[in-house]
Amino acid sequence: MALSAVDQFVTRTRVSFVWNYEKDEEWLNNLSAQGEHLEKPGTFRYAFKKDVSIRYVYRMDYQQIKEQDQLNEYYALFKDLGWERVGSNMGWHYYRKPYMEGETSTQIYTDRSSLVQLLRRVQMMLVLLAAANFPIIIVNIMNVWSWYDKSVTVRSFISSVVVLQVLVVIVLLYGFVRFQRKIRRLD
Amino acid sequence: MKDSVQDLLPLTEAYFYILVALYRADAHGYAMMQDVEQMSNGRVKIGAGTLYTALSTLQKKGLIDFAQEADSADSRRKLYAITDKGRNVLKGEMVRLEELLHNARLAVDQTNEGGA
Repeated sequence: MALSAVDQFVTRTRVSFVWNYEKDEEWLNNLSAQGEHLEKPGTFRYAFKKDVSIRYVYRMDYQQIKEQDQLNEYYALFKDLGWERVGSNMGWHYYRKPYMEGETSTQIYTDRSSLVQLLRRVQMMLVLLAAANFPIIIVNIMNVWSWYDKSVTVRSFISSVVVLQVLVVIVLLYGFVRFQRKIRRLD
Repeated sequence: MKDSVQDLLPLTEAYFYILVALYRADAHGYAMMQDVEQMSNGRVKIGAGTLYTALSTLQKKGLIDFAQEADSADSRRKLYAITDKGRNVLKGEMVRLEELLHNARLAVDQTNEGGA
């Protein structure tokens, strides 16, 4: 079997909800054990690089840091502690370090209070997204009611948008509840 | 910034040990983590997420701050220093812990005498 000198990349699609982020981490770690290492995270599409000679431990952190200086500090601290940043997507930062047999301390959250703070940050994001949807839903519902003169097509289109938005809000609020449960389990 | 020393207690183990490490000398993240692990004989291992959370929280509360670096080869990698408020909080926590330990010792010793 001839080994190709060119790096091999694969793209994988994964649909997952934010409350399963621990499972996403596990998924990345299992793939890395099989020689596929995350190179570029995405919302549903993830790019991997194939290399059977190495194995990483992957960890995900959620931080909404807007200031560039602060963001650089944050990245520098992880780097200082041996974590290579793979990429970031929607506030989630993906880190990895070479897997070492028998190494027990690979968690990035090592006490309850900081883990609770992480879970609360994600929860807060879910609530803000849900809240941002509310005014738009109200406006759309009012439009459906008041646009008697508009065509049926327009009104049914707006109606389906409202249904979709309500579903999104329900998923976000369900996510809030799931994170609340995670927090309660830690208390 | 207006919280009094008592309002900030008790400290988590990570906060406590970070203040202890910085009481000795200014330090970068990695050095702090190593120092804490050594002091606790490997019991307290601070992960990167916990360390970042602790440092930014302690800084927000004014217990630590960035130190002036002599050679800032890599300005992104920050050197941290304890503040006067941080020293006071650490000392306040020591008093609190000593009180706890004193009372627990008293109770345990008295009970042992009674039992023996």
